[in-house]
Order: sequence, then structure tokens, then C-alpha cells
Amino acid sequence: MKKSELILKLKGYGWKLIEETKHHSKWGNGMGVTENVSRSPGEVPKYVAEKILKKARENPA
Amino acid sequence: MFITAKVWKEDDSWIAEIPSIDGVTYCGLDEDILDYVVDYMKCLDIDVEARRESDSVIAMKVLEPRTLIAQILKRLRGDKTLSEVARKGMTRTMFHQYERGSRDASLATFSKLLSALGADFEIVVRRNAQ
Repeated sequence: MKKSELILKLKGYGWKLIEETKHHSKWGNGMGVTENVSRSPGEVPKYVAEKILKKARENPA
Repeated sequence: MFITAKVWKEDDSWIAEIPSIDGVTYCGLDEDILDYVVDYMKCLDIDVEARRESDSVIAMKVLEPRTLIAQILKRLRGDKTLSEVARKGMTRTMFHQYERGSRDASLATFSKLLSALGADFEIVVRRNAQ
């Protein structure tokens, strides 16, 4: 999955960017549930994307 | 307190999964994955000293165990309210203090907190090689 697609889906669940560190972007639903998305270029591995999206789906903003 | 990350390659990426906090990250180069795992933990306010134990395992020493316990509790509680997880002998306030990392939990208390969350965890004591 492309990184831009993952970000769009996170936004669709109402998740917002909280902060960026050297290697990660921290996203969250504003109610304490967060997940870090690697800033590594290229495709997001399917396993990683599914795990992040599952969390967002279960904890929408 | 030590935790581990499992490392493997999938297509063009190196993936590291940290089961104790249900976390996962990835990067494009094997030699960068250690750095990414440390940064992932830093994002959660957990400082670690990490080393590659083998091709597939990264071992991390958690410098402030209360920060790890706080993150485990927070991630396990998800969108449940503090009232939902509070129980006899573990009030909402106490739970919140452990979750914020402002209170140290004994092993017995940590087990009690995990049980209140209905978590299936195993606490392993391992003697390091001399």
C-alpha cells in the first residue's frame, strides 16, 4: 500500500498527525490511542498497514 | 526489564514487531531497523538500549520500566473508560497513575493491572548469560 493511501485512510477514521520524530510520524484519534507510522520511503508493507488500520478502525476519533 | 522485537524481511522491507506493546515498524535496509525500533519506542516515551541479538531478534533494555508499563496499560485499555477497568483494590485514580507512569508497579500489581484489562500476558524471568 502506498503511504499516501494509508494516511488518507487514517484521516478517514478521524486520526490526526500528532508529531514527527526522526523515523516516524505519530498519528492518533485525540483520545489517547496512537500509532507510529514509519517515514521510510516506498510502499508500506501489507502486514504493517493492516495492523495500523485495524487499530484506527477499532478506535475512530 | 527487557523486551524483544522480532525482525523479518517482506518484499523490499525489513519489518520489526514488538509484541509486548503490539507495535510494528519497518524500513528499507536491514542495518537501519535497530534505529527505527529505538525511534518507535522513543515516540512512545520509552527510552531503550537496543542491540541486535540475532538476525531475527532485537533485545531492548527498558531504562525506565514504568514508562513501558504505562504504555502497555494505555494500549491495552484502548477506548475502554477507567471506570470499566477499575475494580476492587484498583481504583480509577490508581489505574490512571500507573497509566501515566507516575507510579511504580510491583510485579504483583502489574499482574493485577493486566488481569483487570483481561490481557493474556506472560511475565518471564530470565537469567542473563555470565
